[in-house]
Amino acid sequence: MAKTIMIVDDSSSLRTVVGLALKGAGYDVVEGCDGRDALAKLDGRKIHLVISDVNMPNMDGITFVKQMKNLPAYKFTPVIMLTTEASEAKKTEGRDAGVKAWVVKPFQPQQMLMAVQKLVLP
Amino acid sequence: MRPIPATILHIVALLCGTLGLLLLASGIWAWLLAAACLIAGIAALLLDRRPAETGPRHPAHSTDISPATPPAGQADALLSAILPLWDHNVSLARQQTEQAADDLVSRFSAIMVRLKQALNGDQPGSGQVLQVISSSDRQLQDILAALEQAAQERQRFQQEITSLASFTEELKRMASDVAHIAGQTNLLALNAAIEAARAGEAGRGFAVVADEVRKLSTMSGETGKHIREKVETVNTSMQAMLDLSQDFASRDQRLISDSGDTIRSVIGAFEQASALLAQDLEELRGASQAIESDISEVMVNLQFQDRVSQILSHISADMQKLGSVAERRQLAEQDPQQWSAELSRSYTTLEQHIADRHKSALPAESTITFF
Repeated sequence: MAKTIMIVDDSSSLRTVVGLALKGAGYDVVEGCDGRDALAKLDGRKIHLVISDVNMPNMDGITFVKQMKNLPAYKFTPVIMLTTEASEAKKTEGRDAGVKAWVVKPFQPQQMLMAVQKLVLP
Repeated sequence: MRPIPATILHIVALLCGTLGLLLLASGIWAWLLAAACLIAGIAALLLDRRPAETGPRHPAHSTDISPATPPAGQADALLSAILPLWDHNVSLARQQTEQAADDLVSRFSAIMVRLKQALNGDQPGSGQVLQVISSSDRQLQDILAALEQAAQERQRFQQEITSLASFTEELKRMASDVAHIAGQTNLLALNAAIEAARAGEAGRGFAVVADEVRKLSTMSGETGKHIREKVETVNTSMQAMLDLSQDFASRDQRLISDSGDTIRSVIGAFEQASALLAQDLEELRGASQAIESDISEVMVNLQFQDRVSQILSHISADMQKLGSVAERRQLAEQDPQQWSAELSRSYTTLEQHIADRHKSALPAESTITFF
C-alpha cells in the first residue's frame, strides 16, 4: 500500500510540483494550503511524512509543526521543511520544533525524494 | 526658471526606474533588481531628508537643500499619496505572476500526466497492433505446422498403398503356382487314366476317378487363371491409384511448400513491421521521456514564483511601513541604517541576503540540512 505524504504550502504551483514528484515515486499525497488547513486535515488518517513551507498565511509552518507534534497520532510523524528561509536562526527554530530536515528552495525533486526516502516512516 | 526640487526628482526617478524595470522584468533577477532600485531610491530619499547627517557624505546634494526644496511635510504628503499606489502595483504584479505560474504549472502537470499515460501504454493503439501482429504470427505458424503434418500423413498413406501393391506381385505368383499345380495335377490325372486303361476292366473305376481329377485340375487351372486376371486388374487399379496418389502428394507438397513460403514471407513482413513499430515506439518513448524531463525541469524552475512572491511581500510591507511613517509626518525622524537593518531582518531568501551585501545575486543551490 502506498505511503501518504502531506504537503503544506500556500503556493498551489509548489504543491503541484512537489505532488507530481511524490506521486511519480509512488506516494499518495494530501495537500494543505496553510498550517491551519493542514491541521484540520490531520483527522487520524495515517500520514507517513509531512513536507511543509515556513512562511504561510493563517498559520506558519513552525507553529503548525509544534501543534501537530501535540497530537498523539502525529507526535512521531517526521517533518521536512521546504522553504525559501535559509537563515540558521530559522533552522534552529525548526529543529527545536521537531523538524527532521530543512530543504531550501529552489529544490531539485531528486534531492527532495532522497530526503523523503530517508525519513519516511516504515 | 525655478529648479525642480531634488526630492521630487528622486521620487520621479525612483518611480520611473522601478516601474520601468518591473515592466521589463521577465525573470526573478530583474524583479530583484527592480526591488533593489526601489529600496535604494527610498533610502536615498530618506538620506536627502536628513541633510545634517548625510551632508558630509553627499556634498553635491547640499546645494539641492536650497530654499527651493519643498518643506518636510510636502515630501511626507507626496510619499503618503504615492506609496499606496506603488504598493497596489507591486501587489498586482505579484498576483499576476502567481496566477500565471499556477496556470503554467497546472498545464505542465496535465501534459506530464498525459505523457506518463502514453509511456505506460495505457492508451490503445500501437501496443494493440503489436499484440495483433504477434497473435497473427502464432496463428500462421500453427497453420504451417498443420499443413506439414497433413503432408506427412499423406506420405504415410502413400507408403501403405505402395506396400499393398507389393502384395499383388505375391498374389500373381500364387496364382501362377495354382496354375502350375493344376497343370501338374492334369498331367498326373492323364497318366492315371492311361494306367487305368492299361489295367483294363480292373482299372475302369480308377479311370473315372482319374477323369474327375483331370476335370478338377482343369477347373483349378481356370480358377488360377481368373485369380491371375483379377490380381492383374487389382494391380492395374492400384498402380493407377498409386500414380494418382503420387501426383496428389507431389501437388500437395508443392502447395504446402508454396503456402509455407507465403506464410513465412507474411510472418517475416509482420516481424519486420513489428520490429519497426517497436523501434518507433521506443524512439517515441525516449522522446517522451526527454520531454517529460524538460517539463519537470521547467516546473522546478517555476518555483521562482514562490520566491518572487515572498520578496515582493517584503517590499510591499516595507512600502506600507514607509507610507505609514510619511502619513504621520515622521519621515525626517527615521534612521536610514536602522530602517535598512530592519528590512534586512525580514529577508527570507538567500538571494535577498546576498543582494543586500551587494554581491552577485545568483540563484541559490538547493541545500538539505538533516537534524
